Amino acid sequence: MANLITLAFGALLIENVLLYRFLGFCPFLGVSKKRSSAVGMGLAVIVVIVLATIVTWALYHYVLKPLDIVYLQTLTFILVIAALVQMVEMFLKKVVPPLYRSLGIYLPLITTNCAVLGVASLVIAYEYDFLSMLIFSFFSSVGFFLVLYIFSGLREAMEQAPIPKPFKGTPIALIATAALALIFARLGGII
Amino acid sequence: MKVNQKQNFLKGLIKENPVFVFVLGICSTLAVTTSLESGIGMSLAVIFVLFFSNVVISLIKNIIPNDIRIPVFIIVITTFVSVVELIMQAYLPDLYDQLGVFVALIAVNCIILGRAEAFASKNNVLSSAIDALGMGLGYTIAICLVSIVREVLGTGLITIWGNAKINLMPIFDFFHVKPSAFFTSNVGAFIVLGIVIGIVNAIVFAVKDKKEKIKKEVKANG
Amino acid sequence: MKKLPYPAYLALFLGILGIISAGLLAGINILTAPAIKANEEKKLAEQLKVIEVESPKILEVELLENVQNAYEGLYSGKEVYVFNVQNKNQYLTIQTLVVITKEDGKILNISVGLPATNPPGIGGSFEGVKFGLIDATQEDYDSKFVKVTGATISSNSVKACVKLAFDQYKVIKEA
Repeated sequence: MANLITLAFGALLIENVLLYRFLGFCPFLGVSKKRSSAVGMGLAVIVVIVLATIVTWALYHYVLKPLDIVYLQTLTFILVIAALVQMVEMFLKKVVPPLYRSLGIYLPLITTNCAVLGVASLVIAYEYDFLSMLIFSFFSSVGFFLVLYIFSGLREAMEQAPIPKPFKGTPIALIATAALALIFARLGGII
Repeated sequence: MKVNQKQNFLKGLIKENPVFVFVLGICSTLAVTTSLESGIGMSLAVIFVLFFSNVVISLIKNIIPNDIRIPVFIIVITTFVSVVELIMQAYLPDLYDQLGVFVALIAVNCIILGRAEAFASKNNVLSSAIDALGMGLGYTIAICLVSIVREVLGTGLITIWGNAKINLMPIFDFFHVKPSAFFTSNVGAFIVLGIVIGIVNAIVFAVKDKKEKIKKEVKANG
Repeated sequence: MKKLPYPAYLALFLGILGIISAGLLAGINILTAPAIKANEEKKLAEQLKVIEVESPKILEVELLENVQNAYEGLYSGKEVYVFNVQNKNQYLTIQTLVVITKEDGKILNISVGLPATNPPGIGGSFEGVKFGLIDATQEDYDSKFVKVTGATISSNSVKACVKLAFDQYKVIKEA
């Protein structure tokens, strides 16, 4: 049990998907400009990562490995992720249309989010069993959401600050992320 | 419409540099720039995938049904990524261990999908191939620049390949400073990349302003 | 061809593309498989060098679960078995190489490997493992208290590996 708690904390804070593993950065820089879009994106990412990791984990352990076609891993994983994102899109469109509209273009963008394929691949590389895989994927994606939300708040404030022209936009965002990463890194002392 | 291939190639280097201008492929830039060796290795893999996927997509662009073009791009790109993965595992196993999951992540690297959508699906094979090479080289320049900064400041060495290293410690000793592992850590990654992009932007803006000035003067002088 | 209903045409296109991709990858896989296997064997030979076992040969025996490989070789002139044992718990995967003499089942050497991707802070020093376990036999291990220095999670894993190595040795001896 203690192992699972350490795993959860590790995935959430210390080895945070964005700040330590550098996964999911492209959409991060684009989406984190407003808090509302950050919340939508974050929730969608949590759903997709957990679902996708479960399916790809099962695919690896029950199909790819027994049939010795491990070299098809990347291809099949991506197709599973793309299909899943498509299905989540259709589900939201039918069941919760306002949420679907507010997410807008960010939903199909999750397919190319390094974090989804990254977490799915890591779970295989670390050889996690089912329960560890669930914990890892859930807390990793929550970690993504957490950093995304904090950062969108920061960025809203940064818009007002007088920043020299060459550093406006991406450079200052990266430097601010460094500060955030530093804070999260110090949290490693808790465990 | 005749495409100037020289322009086509050169644009990927500076004006439309995928990392510094389009801000794509940041995940991999942050992760693999801990040493020049992994930076070069990653760049080669990316150029390989970018080149072949651009060429293939350009070849079949007319028969791809529009509704499924993104899945088609993804399948083509991922196939070449898997080819690179297998080749690396077989012939460059140390590099594969260093790059880890990021080799597979080339498949979702925004640069490659972006070029497929923006260029290869709309231009002929030759232009697409040259565009791929230009963009790939631009990516390489960006990655190598950041790698060198991080590795020098972080360890005082530049690892070109395997055991071929350049030892810059004498320079450090001359100034009585020590390299700090901070720069090869994850926090260092963000800061170095942010500052490098900021500096590149500053240079680009300065050059642009100067060009504008010269243009205005030419106009004024008639 | 155009007579197909549109969704079927899409599916067919994707399906054919998928088959071409899979075929290409299968081909490359066949080409690179021997090289990949050779690399893995080289890595293991390097590892076995670490525990000073010479002329390792793969042993074809029935392996217990979590025993990855069994080899035989020479350690300082003595004939030994080398077992590559894995122990997995929720957070840690440990790979150990245990060198056991063929004759009397004594541990002569042990090497513990952690996958490079492990999070920091878990797993302490493994130097104590060697000194506590050298020359221990199964009976010693069961009866004496063997102290393994390091964090609890990892030392339990190492102990489990050693126990499994002894069990595997018993299996070979009794075969």
